[in-house]
Amino acid sequence: MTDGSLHRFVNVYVNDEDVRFAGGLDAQVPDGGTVTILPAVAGGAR
Amino acid sequence: MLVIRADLVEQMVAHARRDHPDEACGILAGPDDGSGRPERFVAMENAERSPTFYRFDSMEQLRVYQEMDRNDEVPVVVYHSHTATEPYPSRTDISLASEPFAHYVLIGTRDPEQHELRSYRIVDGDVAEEEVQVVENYMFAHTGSDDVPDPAPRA
Repeated sequence: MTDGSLHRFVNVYVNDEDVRFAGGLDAQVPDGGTVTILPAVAGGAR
Repeated sequence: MLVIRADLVEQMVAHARRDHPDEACGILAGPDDGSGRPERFVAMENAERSPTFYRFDSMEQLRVYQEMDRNDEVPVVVYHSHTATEPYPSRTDISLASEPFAHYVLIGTRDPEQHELRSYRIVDGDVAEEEVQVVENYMFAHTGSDDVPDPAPRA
């Protein structure tokens, strides 16, 4: 996060699209667009 | 303590068995009223399809969380399986736990006959295991602090 990049375990959505598939944090937010941020739910035995 | 209906346990265990040896994951949604009652089973896709790691598919997670918002629900339980190791939160589980109000349920499927099911609170890197009480329904279950003792739960 300190380098300004998207944290691997945070999901950011612009208009219900995951920004990972829409240019990352450079994704454009249109006027009236919605931004949703969710913590990724992840883990595992290792 | 996690009080949980037997049918929800059965659905989680069946999901864990189905995806074994990959880890299975999902949530149990419940009303956002502080009752801590899991009501609705939602199996999630493990986007990693891995025997040692899980991650909710990000688009499925968005849909499910929006649906919970509309229903005034919260993820009361976040569950996943450990398919070869003890059902205790790993360092990864602990460092990525982001729901301090959720019960983290781990299902162990290393034994093909007998599953293991344990529940934890994970807050700021601290793990506390909690008792799990499986009930047929919530009517007679202890559901939180009150002034009147609840009748004994049915076995």
